[in-house]
Amino acid sequence: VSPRPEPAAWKRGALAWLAQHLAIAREFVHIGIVRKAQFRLEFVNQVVMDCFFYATHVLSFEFLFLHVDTIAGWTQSEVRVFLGLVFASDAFMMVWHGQSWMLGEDLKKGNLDSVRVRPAWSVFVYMFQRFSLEGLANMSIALGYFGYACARSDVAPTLDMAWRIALAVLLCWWGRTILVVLFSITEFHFVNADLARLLHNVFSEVTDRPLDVFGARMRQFFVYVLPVGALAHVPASIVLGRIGALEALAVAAFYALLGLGVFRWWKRSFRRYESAMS
Amino acid sequence: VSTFEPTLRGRLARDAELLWTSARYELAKATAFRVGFLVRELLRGLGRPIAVAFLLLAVYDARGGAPIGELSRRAALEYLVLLALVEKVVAHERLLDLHEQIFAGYVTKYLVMPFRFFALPLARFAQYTATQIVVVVLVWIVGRLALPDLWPRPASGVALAQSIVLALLGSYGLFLAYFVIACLAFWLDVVWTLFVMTRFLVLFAAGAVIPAAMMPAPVVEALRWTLPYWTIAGPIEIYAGRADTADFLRGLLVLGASVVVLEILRRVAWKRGLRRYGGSGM
Repeated sequence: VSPRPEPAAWKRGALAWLAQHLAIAREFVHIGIVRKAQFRLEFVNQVVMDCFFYATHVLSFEFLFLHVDTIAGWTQSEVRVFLGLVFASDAFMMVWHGQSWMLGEDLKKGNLDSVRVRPAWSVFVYMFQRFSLEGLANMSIALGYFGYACARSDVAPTLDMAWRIALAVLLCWWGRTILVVLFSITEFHFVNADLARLLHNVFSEVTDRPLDVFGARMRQFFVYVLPVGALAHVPASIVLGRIGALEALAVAAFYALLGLGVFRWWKRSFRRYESAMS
Repeated sequence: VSTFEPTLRGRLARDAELLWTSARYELAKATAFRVGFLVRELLRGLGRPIAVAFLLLAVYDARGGAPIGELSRRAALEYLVLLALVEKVVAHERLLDLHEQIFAGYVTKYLVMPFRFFALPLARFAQYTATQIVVVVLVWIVGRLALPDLWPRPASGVALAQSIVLALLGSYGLFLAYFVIACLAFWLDVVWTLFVMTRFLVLFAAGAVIPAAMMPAPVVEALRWTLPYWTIAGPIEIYAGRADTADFLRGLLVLGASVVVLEILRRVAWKRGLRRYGGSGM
């Protein structure tokens, strides 16, 4: 039997990099659970808070569908699938990206020195450091609603649908990470402008409804230029069969590359950080 | 009367002076970073009305342009313009950092100063309201000049005055509500989730997510007994002439009662919270 060939150097490097970041993620999860042990009531509050978010969104569309059968070509059951993915995407942010809200403050106070000198990917170390256990509870509620919505919209439980659903959920999580990182880049360029939060608030209003309401050109803009469509519109379109399999894979590949480009931009912008910026 | 004890008039004068000084200081602080100040003050509250406008246009398209209740397509767009303007003036939870100071144990320094602590957040509220009124008036004038046919006009001078009174009184009520929630940090340590929950409820009840006219009648009737409705949706309906003086009086009653209850809660929460306060922070 010939000896098994050694993996190429780049492959060994990639595996080591992945193992290192998984180990860091495991530590973040551990710290997040310990932190939650200190604020037990906060756990309940955060779960209830997101339920309020879900309820107001669901009620708004249920009320609007009292007056019409479709909104921009989306039926009531299709909008429910869409909302399920909005909630799953939002819950992913709650689980992993809580620290992103603090970037402006951390920049002003000069709290990022440790992120700069740590021997790991700075985007990952900063953006994923605050794991939230209650976010996981919210994720289960969000995915539960998504499952209910799929069942109500006659999404057949086939193998074809299984990969579509898996791709859609992964895409809505990946899209959330891209946007969080993209918006936070503004904080490096305009210190104390609170622009990341402002952009998040402005564009969450866009992403919380099917992009077809904005017309064809703006929909394309939100899908391909400012990728807010990755959060729910494109994933819902994949699940509902509004776009074909090949197009779905092509869009997913596009978002993968876009994300890597955004992370690189963040890393470059991070060079502007000077310990005490205010 | 002891010469060391200021008279009531003296205390009021001192409070007014403190309020004025603090408000000027707050303005200087808010404008220290000019880009951020301009972006925040101009763009705050614009995203939702614009996105909702597209959604409602799609709803009206699906109905072939038929009105929903009293709300025609044009009236719905005017509603959203007014929503953007009123939302700019209304107080929001980020005006306060009291909960962070309680959490960090920084409240101690205020307890030894010769004035009431509440004067400081009140000054911030006053500065915010004054700044936003200036911004809203400027936006209204520009909008009126740029889009004279589309820009919503008040049904009458009285309607304008009534809607301003309700919006400002409601804004003060929300400010008190946020202060009470911030005081809960004496017991709960972390209260930001309560702020966010409150915001979701306020926006929904205020008709900021979708206009109340598009909700079922029993829901609207229930909302008409709440502070958020008369802070945002009520003033807009009066401004547009879809509600009259009787509605104004009902709104005034709801807001007046809410402010009284919230003021009592504020005093109780602050006083009892201080008894628990250890001053060491987390």
